[in-house]
Amino acid sequence: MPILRSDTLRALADELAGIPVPPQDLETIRTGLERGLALLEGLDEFDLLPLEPALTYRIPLPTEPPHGR
Amino acid sequence: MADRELVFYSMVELADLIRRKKVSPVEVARAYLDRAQRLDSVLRAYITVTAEDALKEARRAEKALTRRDTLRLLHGLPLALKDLAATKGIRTTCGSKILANWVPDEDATIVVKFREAGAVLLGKLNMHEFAYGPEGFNPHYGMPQNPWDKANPRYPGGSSSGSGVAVAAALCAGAIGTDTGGSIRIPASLCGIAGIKPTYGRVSRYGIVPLSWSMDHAGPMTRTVADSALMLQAMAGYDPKDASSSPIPVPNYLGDLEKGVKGLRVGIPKGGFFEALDPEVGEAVHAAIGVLRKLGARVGEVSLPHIHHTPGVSFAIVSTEAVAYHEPYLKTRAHEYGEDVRARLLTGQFVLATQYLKAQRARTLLRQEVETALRKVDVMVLPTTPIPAPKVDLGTVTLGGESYDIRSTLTRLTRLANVTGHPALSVPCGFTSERLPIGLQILGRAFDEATVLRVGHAYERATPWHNYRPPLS
Repeated sequence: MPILRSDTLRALADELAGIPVPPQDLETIRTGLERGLALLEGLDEFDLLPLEPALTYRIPLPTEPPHGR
Repeated sequence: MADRELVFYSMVELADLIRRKKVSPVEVARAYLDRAQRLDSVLRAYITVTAEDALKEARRAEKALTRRDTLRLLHGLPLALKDLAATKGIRTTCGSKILANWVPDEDATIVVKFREAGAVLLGKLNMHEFAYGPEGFNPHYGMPQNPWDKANPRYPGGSSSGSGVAVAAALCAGAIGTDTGGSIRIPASLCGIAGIKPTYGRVSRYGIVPLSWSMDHAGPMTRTVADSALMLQAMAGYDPKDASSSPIPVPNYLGDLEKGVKGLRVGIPKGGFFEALDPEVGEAVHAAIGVLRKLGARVGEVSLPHIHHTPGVSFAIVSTEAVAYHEPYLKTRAHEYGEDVRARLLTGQFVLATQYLKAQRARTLLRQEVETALRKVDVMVLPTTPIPAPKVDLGTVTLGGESYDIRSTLTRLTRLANVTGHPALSVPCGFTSERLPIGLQILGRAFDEATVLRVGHAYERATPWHNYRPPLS
């Protein structure tokens, strides 16, 4: 699991993203982010490069058969 | 006809009674409004009740009956809307302080469709703030109370918590919910009602405040599956105002309902869907699969080997899309958000664009995997939530000897259909020994809501669960 430092997060928020983080939220954010990024790490086991990002999800045409038939 | 009975008629039954002039739309609307007035100070399902407008619409529906006009699909049926669907001239809060005074100058497309179908709109329903949470609480308007346990406050499930409570407690005949990680199906499961998340693109989201535009869906929440079919019929269809909207024709959902499940192939997905469950949930869902088998379905296992990556994919996509929408408010009015939603929104700014795109690529993989499984079966069945409605003072739950946090447990089995866009229905499939509802989830092929509804309806007809009522006076 990645270990993130609160002061790094604060600097990123203030200087890069531009959405300041209230100090009382930092710990909750750090915990949630660490948990989320740990889940995401598992994706490195795949070769994802040949896959199109799902934003290009193509809705089948009305003339096409239903999925899987 | 006593009001208490009238409010528990299904929408299909009410539509028939109205058509045959056995009850008037005004009588029906009054029955629901009276009940809401009597019970909602405790249940907190509504944020805004539009009683005057509702009675006006009901009187209009009654006049149309007198004139023998052609009756419309939802003629005189009282519905309520999750308070993130824009309503012209009626405030639309999104369960937030930030939009507390927003009065849209236009209706959302689904609201237009409901009005055109003759529905009577009773008001706007409570929800998790900005639809970002599966528990359903709200720091600004109070948490809707799960009607199944008066002694111990329990989560109603979210984010469409007001919709789940209002339908279960008969404060409206049907409601809309929206679903980004399970927000229709989770409250449906925890409140003991039916709710369907249609295929991505099937129902327009124009005029609905977004949480995550590539994951958001809108759909009906009702007391029976047939009522969900009826509402979906009115909601579905191409909308040029919504870029995600599909031109695929909408079939007759009610027409296919009675076909039964004989010969249909029902898949039980492998890959953890039946692990770490409350034992009573596991028993009820296995019993439900037995019912489908007895009804003639052919049941077998299907494999979804990489499905355990769903939570990571969902996290990267929803958190970044949500913060992108909320950025202007977060920069200027961050203190007006509830603590839980603000912290989760702010988390999204730390997810890199590369991680977002990696998740979108993995999403393609997961979609392909589900589509491959759905070549072998017509639908898949699984629990909707691993647990029944948890008490509100619990932060974690112990399952199989391990501790899990409530939030990720509630969404563990529902997120998949948001990631892949496939339709998924939750239907009541039993009660725990504490008399809390349990939900069965039925997931089907893209744009094949008809088969999903058909399976749900057949199951419902063979079981008594949809007739159970919460212990309210």
